[in-house]
Amino acid sequence: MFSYMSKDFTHSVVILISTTTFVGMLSGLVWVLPSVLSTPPGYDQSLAKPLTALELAGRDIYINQGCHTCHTMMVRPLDHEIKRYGRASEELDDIYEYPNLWGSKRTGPDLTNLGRKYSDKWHEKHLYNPRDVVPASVMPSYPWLFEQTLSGDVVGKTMTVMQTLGVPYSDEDISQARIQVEGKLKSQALIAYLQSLGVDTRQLPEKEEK
Amino acid sequence: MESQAVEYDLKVVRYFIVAALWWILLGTVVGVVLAAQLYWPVLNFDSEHFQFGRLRPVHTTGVIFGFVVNILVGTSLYVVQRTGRTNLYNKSLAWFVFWTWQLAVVLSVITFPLGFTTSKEYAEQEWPIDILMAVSLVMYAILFFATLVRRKENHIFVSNWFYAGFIIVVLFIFVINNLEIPVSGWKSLSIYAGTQDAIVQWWWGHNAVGFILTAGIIGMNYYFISKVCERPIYSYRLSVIHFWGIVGFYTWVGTHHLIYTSVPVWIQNIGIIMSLILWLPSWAGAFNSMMTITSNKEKLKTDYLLKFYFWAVIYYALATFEGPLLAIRWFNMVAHNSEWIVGHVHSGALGWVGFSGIATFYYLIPRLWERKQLWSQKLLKLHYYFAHIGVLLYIVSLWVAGIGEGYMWLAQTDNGSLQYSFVDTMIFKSPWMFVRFLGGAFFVAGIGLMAYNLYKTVTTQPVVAKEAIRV
Repeated sequence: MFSYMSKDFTHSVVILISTTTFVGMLSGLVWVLPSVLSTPPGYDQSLAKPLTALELAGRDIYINQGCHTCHTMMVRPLDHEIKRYGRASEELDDIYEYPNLWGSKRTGPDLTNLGRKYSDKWHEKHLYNPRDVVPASVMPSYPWLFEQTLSGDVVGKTMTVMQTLGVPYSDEDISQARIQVEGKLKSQALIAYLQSLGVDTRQLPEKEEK
Repeated sequence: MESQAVEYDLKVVRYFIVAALWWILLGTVVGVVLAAQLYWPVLNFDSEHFQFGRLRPVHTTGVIFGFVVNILVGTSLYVVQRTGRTNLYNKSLAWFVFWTWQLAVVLSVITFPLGFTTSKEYAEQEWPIDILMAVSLVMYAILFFATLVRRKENHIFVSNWFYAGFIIVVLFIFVINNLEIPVSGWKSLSIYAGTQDAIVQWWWGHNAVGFILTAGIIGMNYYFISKVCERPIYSYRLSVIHFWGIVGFYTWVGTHHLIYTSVPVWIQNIGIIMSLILWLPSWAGAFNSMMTITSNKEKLKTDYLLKFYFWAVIYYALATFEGPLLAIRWFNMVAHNSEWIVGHVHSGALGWVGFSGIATFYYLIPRLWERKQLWSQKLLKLHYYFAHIGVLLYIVSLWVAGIGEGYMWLAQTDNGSLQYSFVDTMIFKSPWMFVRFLGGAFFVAGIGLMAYNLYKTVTTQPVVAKEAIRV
């Protein structure tokens, strides 16, 4: 046996574990935990509005179809990016985004401010077969979204969890959720979600102009 | 160094290595399918389960958690026994880790096509699998460190520090990133929202790169490069700097994925500055490995395993230079969200991790099964060239596609309007997407050759005593 006294990390497992943990986790203490534990400044002034039950069901479809693997939702405050995708994203825009859907790859365009840019009809055609409207598109077709309907089982529970996390859903919103969603086509819910994107944060500047 | 008295526990190591081999094959095949889908969208087959969005996490999970974690756990259990001249702390625990981890990866690749995903990159698993993975990782940590405590060698060999860094950091950040509230059996919500969620996600995201794909592989290589090269590590002192540089700086760089986003600027700047600093220990480590490899030039001329390690280190140096570069605001403005990032990841994943893993498979499998030699040197050579062609086609095509589309996205005419539509950029990069597919196909064909060669080695080569094995 050998002594654990006056050893360094090359001789003592205890020192190896403790020093590695401390050095490795320093970043967590300095900027991860403070960011996570604090409320973003101006939280109350956020323009973000919680999604309706149908839009939220649409967001679930967006996630479970993996749309975020090819589309971003983060407009950077750069001239060319604002010209292409609209108003730059701000910290307070996403306070109800559990989880964030910023993505990391623009195989397709950014969708932050997609809402009301195209008609529902256009979205239907595009989701059914993207190449009918954009011939060069490599996006998959989503015909099953026009066959499958929603049961509405999950959306109320999702809203309850979001309520506990701080999203201002009323108990009435939650009790009405199932009725709004049940029996709707998945495409309807997804399009409702897509049409909501960026609409909430868009309103204030318009008012200011008036 | 090796004492005859110790009977090493190698059966579980064999299982981990076979699992790793299976997942590198499956994970990269799925990768090629995805690459093909981005050129021929008809290959989505109008199938809910097979379309790109559902298939993509199967590829990343298959490669990262299937291939890389399995080869790291397998080799760590091999290295910790041999460098400590002891057997494992507890064999049942080793089997528990093996089966829980395989179950977690299999459940992942079944549930992703079914649409069960948290959407968090490299952590898409829903909550029941997260719990399974966390339990498996904790048990692995206990197994590894308890075995390290049993060692009969006073000094803890450098590889074990890196394996320790991999275990500790991955365990902590994995758990913190995956804190979520279950909504139903296969759905949960992250407890973080918006910018906070993004910060935690990329703290994890870059440490999957930093501690699974980098620190773990470095640990593996410090042992196996010396073995294959038959020379000691060039500078053991430099490896200390390498280790603390990696552990000290890697966990800080995650927010370079969030430059120009809506996270607070000071947090973006930490990611940028730390990425630039990280260049130094990374190249110190690359230099160390390169000097070790070239200390046996005679063997480097003829031995294809050593050549694989040589090029792995070259790609490590390339990727760890490109990384800090991409973290600079100006480069990030062009490259963010583009194909360049995918190319950068793959010069690391195919060039560095892939080549290192390949060489380790070729070295370790004949030894674990005590076979005289590799079945075919010709196939090994062919694999070497396939792998090179594959990586080169892959990263060059995505440099062109990524930098090209990055510039097209930001180009404006004199009157300040955008010069190209999004569709213009898709049409521009389309042929390069085909070249990328081709590159991936070459790489995977090479993996196929390796799997066949190693299968033949184990099934046809005579069993010999360990000392007589040569590859």
